[in-house]
Amino acid sequence: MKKRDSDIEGELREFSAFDQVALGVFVLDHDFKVLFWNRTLEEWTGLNKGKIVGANVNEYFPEFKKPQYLHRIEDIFNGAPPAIFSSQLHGKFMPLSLPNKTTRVKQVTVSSVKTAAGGDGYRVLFVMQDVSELTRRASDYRSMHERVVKELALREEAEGEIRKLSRVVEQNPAAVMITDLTGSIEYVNPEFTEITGYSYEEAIGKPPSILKSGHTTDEEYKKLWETITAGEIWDGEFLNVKKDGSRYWESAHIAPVKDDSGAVTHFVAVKLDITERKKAEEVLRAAREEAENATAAKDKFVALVSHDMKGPLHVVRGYLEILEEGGLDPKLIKDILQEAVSTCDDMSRLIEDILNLNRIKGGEIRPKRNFICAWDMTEESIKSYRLLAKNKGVDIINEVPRYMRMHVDKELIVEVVGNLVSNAVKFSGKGDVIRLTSSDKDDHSIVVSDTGVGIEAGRIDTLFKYEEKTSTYGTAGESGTGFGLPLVKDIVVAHGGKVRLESTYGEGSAFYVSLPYRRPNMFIVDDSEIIREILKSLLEEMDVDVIEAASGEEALGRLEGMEESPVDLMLLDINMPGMSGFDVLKRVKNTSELKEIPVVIITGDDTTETRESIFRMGADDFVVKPLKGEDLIPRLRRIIG
Amino acid sequence: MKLTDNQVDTLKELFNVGVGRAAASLNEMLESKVTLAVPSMKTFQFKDITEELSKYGDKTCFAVSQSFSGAFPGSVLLLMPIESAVKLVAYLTNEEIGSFELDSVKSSTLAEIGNIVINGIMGTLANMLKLQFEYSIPDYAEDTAFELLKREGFSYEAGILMVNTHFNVSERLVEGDFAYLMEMGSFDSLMNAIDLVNKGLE
Repeated sequence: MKKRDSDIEGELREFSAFDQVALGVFVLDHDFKVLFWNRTLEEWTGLNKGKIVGANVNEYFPEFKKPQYLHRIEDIFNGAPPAIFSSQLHGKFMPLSLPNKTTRVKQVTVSSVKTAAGGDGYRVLFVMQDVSELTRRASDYRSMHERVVKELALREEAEGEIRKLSRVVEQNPAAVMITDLTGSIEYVNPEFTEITGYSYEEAIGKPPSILKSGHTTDEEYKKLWETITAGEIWDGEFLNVKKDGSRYWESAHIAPVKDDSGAVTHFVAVKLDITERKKAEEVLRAAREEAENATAAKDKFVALVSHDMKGPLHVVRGYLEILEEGGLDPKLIKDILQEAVSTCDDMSRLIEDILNLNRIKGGEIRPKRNFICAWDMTEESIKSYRLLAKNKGVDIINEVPRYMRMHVDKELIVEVVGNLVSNAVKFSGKGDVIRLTSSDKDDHSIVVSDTGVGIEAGRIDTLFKYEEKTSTYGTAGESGTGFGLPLVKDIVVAHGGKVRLESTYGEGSAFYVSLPYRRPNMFIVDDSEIIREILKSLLEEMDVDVIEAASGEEALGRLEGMEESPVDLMLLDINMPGMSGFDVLKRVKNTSELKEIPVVIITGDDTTETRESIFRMGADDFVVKPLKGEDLIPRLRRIIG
Repeated sequence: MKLTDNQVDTLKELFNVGVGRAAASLNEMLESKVTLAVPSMKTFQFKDITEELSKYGDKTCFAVSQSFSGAFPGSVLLLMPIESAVKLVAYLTNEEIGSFELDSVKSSTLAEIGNIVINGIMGTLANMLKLQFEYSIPDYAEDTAFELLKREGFSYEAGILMVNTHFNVSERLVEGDFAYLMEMGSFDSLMNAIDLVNKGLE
C-alpha cells in the first residue's frame, strides 16, 4: 500500500508541470484510477487533488461508463491514436459537468502516454481546453471589425456629403456670389458667369455694383446694406445689367456668413435669373386684361340678348291676355294662336343660337379636324331645311362633287353650311333655286348661292358682326336672330379659312366658304415591296400622300420621330419578320400621341380570331389579301373621306 | 505511383472496414444514423496536387490532420469545403445550418468527427497490416485544400493516396476526402505490405 502511495507520488511529480497551465489535465491508468488531477481542474470542478487522486474516476464521474466514452478510451489504452471529445457533440465537457455555466466551448484531447517509470504500459492523459475566452475574443474582434467597417462607411458618407455640398454650390442652378465685408467679390460660381457674362477672374475683387442698372433706387440699396450688416437676411428683386449691356431680372437672397463667435465675415448672395418669370407674369397680366375686356363685351351682349328675349315673350303674353278676355271670333283665335306659336318658334331659335354661340365663345374655337366627305357633310346640313324650302317652292340642288374631301371639324362646318342654307331659304321665294357647289378656283371650298332677294351693298359689311345684330325679315316674314352670320365667320376663321359674300340686290347672293386643305398622309407599313407598290397604285385615285416603312421597327421609329403625328391613316401588315403588325398596333394604341391615328390592318388571315383580336386591339378596319381596290377604297374613304 | 487492381481492391476493403468502425463509433455517440462509404480512390504525387485538387479550387476547406511515425511515417487528413463541413456538423447535431462560418464550437466538433474517421481507418490499417504507429495529437485548420496539404511538410515527390469519402447522415450526403500523405519510400513500403496481405489472403 505504501509502495503504491509512493508510485502515485511519483506520478504526481511527473505530471506536476501541468499544474502551471490553464488547461484542465488529468491522468488515468488502465483501471480508470486517477493518477493526476491538476490545479486548473481543482478550480473548475471544486474537487481537490487529495480527494480524487487514487480513486476510480467513475466514482465521481459515472459518465465514463457510457459505451461511447468507454470504447474510445479503451482503444487508446490499446495503442489507438489520440481522440478528441468536443463539447458540442457530447453536450458537456466530457466527461465532466462543470459548475461554471459561462464556460461554453470546451474540448478534451485524450492521448496515451508512457510513464517515465516504465512499468505497466500506458497511462491516458486527458487535456481539457476551455476556449470560451478565445471564442469571446473572436466574437469581440468580429463585432469590432464590423463597427470599424460601419464607421468607415459613415465617414465616407460624410465626406461624400461635403463633396456633394461643394458640388451643390459649384453646380447650383442659381448664381452664387460671396463678398467680403467691404462688398468686394471673393467667389462666384459658374452659373453667375453664365447669367452675367462676367468670368470668375473678371468678377473677383470687383463690387457687386458692376451689375447695377440704375433701376433700383439708392435708398433700396441702403436698406439692403443695413439689413445684411445687421446680420439679417435680405430678399428682393433687381433689374440688373449684364456684361454685354443687356438687362435681366434677378431674385436675390443675400445672407451674412458668421464665424464661430457670431461675427459677420462674409456675405453670400444666391441669385436666380427670373427674366423669364417676369415675362410670363407680363403675358399673364395681358391675358387677364384681355379676359376683362372680353367680360365687358359679354355683358354688353347679354344686355342686347335679354332685350331680344323679352320682346317675343311680351308678344306671347299680349296674345294670351287677349284670349283670356274671351268672346273672340274663332277665326281670330286661330290667327292669334298661330302668331303665338310662330313667336315661340322665333324665341326658341334665338335660344338655340345663343347656346351655340356660348359653346363657341365660351372658349376659343378649337376645331378638331378630320378628313370628311364634303358631299355627306352638305347633305347633313341641308336635311333640316328641305321641307321648309319645299313649302316655299324653293329648290335646293347639291352639286358638291361626290368625292370632294375636306379637312375640317365636321360638326362645326355643318353649322356653317346649315346657317347659310337657312339664310338662303329665308331670302328666297317660289321658283328660286339654292345651289351648293364647290368653287372652280378652289377645290376645297363650298359655295352656297341663291336666286333670292339679294342684299343691299351697304349692309354687306355689317352682316358678320355680332354687335350689329342685323336681322332682317325673310320673304315669308321670317325673323332671325342676327347671330347666324357672325357665328359662320368665327367658325371659318377658326379653321384658318375665309368667308366671302357676293350679292346683287334683287338677283341673289352667293356665300363662298374657303377652308384650308391638305392631302391626307397615308402610312403604308409592309415588309413586301410588291404589296407596297400595289397599295400605292390603288391609292392613286384617292389623292393622298404616301409614306412607307418596310418593317414594324422602322414604322415606329418614323412615327416617334414625327411631330404632332401628321399620319392620317396607317395601313399595317400583320405578318412581318421582327416586330409584327400586332406589336406595332399595340404600341401605337398605347402611345397617347399616336393613338388617334386610324389603323387599317392588312392580313392574309380572315379567321374570326384574327378579326376579333384586330378590333380588340383598337384597329379601325381591316382588309384581306389579295388586295382589291373595290374593297380597300371604300373602307379608306369611310375614314378619310 | 499507379496501383494494381489487387492493391486497389485491398485498400478499398481496408478503408471500408475503417470507415465502418468510424460510423459505428459516431452512431454510438449521436442520435443521427450515419453511414460512411469510400466510393473511389486515386494516387498521385504532390507535384500534381493543383491539377488533382482542381475540384476544390480556391474554396476554403476544413481539415483535421494527424501525423504518425513508426513503420510508414506520414500524415492523414480529412478534408472538405467549409460549406460541406458546416452542413455535416448541422446534420450530425440536428441543428439548423446557421452561417457558413466555422466558429470554435463547430471546429472542435469537426475535429472530433475527423478524429473518429481517421482513427477508424488508421486503427484498421494498423491491425490488418500488423503495424505499429505513433500518432500526434489531432490538429485542425482552415485554408485552401492546397495549403492544407502543403502545411503537412512533404516533398514534391511525396505520394498521396486520396480516398473520396461519403458521409450519409439521415439520407443527406456530405462529401469529403481522406488523404494519406507519405514520402515515396513509405508509400512503396505500404504497398508492399498490402501485397503481402494479398498473398496471405490468397
